[in-house]
Amino acid sequence: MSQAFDRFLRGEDRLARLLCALPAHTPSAEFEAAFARAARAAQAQRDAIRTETAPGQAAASGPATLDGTRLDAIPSAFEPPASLETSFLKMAASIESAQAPRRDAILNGIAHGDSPQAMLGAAIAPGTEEWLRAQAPAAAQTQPGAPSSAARKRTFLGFRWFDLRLAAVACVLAVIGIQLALMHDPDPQQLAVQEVFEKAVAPRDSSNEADPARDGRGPLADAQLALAQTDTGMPQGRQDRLAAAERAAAPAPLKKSQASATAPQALRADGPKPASPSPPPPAPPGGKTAPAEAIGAPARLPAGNAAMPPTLAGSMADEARADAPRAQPAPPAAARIAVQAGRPQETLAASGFPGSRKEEASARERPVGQIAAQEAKQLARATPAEQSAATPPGMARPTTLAAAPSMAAHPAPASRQQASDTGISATLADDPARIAILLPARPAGALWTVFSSQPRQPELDRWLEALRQHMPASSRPARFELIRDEGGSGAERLRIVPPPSETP
Amino acid sequence: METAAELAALPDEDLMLLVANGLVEKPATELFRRHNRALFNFIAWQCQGNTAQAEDIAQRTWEKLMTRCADYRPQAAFRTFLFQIARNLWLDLRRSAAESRHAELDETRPETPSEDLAPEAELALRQNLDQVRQALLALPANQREVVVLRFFSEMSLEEIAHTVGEGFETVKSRLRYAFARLRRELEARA
Repeated sequence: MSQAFDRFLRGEDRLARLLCALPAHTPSAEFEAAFARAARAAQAQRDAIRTETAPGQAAASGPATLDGTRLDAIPSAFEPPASLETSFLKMAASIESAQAPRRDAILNGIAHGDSPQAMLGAAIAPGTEEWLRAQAPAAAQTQPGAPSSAARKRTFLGFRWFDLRLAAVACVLAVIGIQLALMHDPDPQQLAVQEVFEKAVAPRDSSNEADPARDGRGPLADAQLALAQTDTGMPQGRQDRLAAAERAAAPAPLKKSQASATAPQALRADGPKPASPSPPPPAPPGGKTAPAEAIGAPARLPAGNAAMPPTLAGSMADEARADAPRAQPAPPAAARIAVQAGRPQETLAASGFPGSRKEEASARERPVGQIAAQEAKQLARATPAEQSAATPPGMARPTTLAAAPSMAAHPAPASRQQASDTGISATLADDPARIAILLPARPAGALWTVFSSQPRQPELDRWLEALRQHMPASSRPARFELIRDEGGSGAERLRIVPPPSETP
Repeated sequence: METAAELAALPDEDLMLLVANGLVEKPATELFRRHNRALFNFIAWQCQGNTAQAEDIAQRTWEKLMTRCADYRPQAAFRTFLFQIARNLWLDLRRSAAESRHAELDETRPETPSEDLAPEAELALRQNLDQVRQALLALPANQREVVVLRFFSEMSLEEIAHTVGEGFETVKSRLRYAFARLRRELEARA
């Protein structure tokens, strides 16, 4: 670097002196007068918006501070017009009035002894603290006391009517009341259901297993019919008893086939809540008998209740789970897959259809594939923590992940932390909005690095600016530093590397 | 009440914090009073002396500053934040006017003079400062920008780099190009 350029940078050479000698314009009298008029108007408008109290405040307006000492210090060849001051002050006054609630909250807090730094949420100079404390009493006087008096009127025993605490108390009382009512006044329909199940349990103890399909489905169907006629829910203990009765009333062959059919799925489907409501079963392949008809009993049920009751699905899942290792958690998606996948198999077995193993397998796998694709879409939206928690250790996640190749192509939020170290690859053809979503959060104003084989191309600048605009304001970088990528990738390709995270 | 007089003693960052917390009018007026002339000057140079365009950009800059003050972080220098807003608006305007950026790029390798400007040349140019002004206006925008920020807004190279969103070396390189070109132009005119 030449010595002359060094001196130019420091402003010591003749060229720098010439530049600094370019004519400086001083503010005209019209400029200051316009500024003073606009400031007075803005102050009057503000005083009108706020209350008529706080006398003397109106006298403290901006134009008194026009000392002009700093203004003259700036060498300037272009003078801002007076209209700019006027429009600015109008804009400031309108924003001031729009921000009144926030401002009043802060000033009230300070008037009540809160720290100005705490109220503003940042460290401020002592002078700023003093200024805020000076503003606070005036603001407190201008407050008509509306919040306190109004709140007092609407207060009863320390609660406001819209207070959440009151709502919580009401909820607790309602729950206690319902429980008391259920304990002391059982529903006759529930008693009837209980009797039906007791009848169903009694013959099973002494029955033979010659005709399990008939014997098993009869009481079960009756129980389900009774359940369908019961609109109200039951206490949990009673539900458990009914579930036990269902398990006992289920036919043995159905149980075995169900267990064998669902066991491989249920191994992955060790859901914590077996009695959770299951979605309607998928249509059987080839237009074969519907599951509800195959089971028999639900065919007599009203159309709205034709779906399998939750307790039945729960009991099936329980049986399948009885053979499965309990220590393995399962993804909730797989649990749903297992429940739904069991339906066609159960249909074929219970209807006595002597279908080949192939058809059974296809009937079992086709819904799984469809559901797996849906579940994969849902999992793609799930957080990384959920995904990792949903995968049992040592167990593959073949169905959902294999059905979602897009997850690998688009890094999920899970991979953001990794991406923060290695960067995110993109091309200029990518949508900046989509890439902005994939980028990890960093403090705003940071310096990000972009590697490109051709950093000096205007398309890249435009694309990066669009990317910057699409990033959230809280993590928007100050700029992207372009670095030539010697790796030889295409001109369209680039790699965006965020600054290192502050937390380890 | 000596409110405004007290405000004049507060740092820019605190005034901006007050604006962001709803205390708008007086702190914003103080900020405006401090920085509007430098800001307008910067924009006007960037607009090659088109003061109407500069006024429009300056007005939108202040409007944006007050409506997007939540984006401001107290650790960032207020002046660079303000100039960044203005610069982005100016860039948007240029893009919308479909100005070719390639036309502004100076691809020639600068031959940086090793000696200072001759005293006779300085004297001649000082008697006709309009030539200096014309030479400055003739610079490519990205070079003119760093010269204006360095010599009129009195920013350090780091502040300029932050404002224009470029690296330190890039800013220095642009200043070198500008220096070489100004010297060439002015020596020819002198």
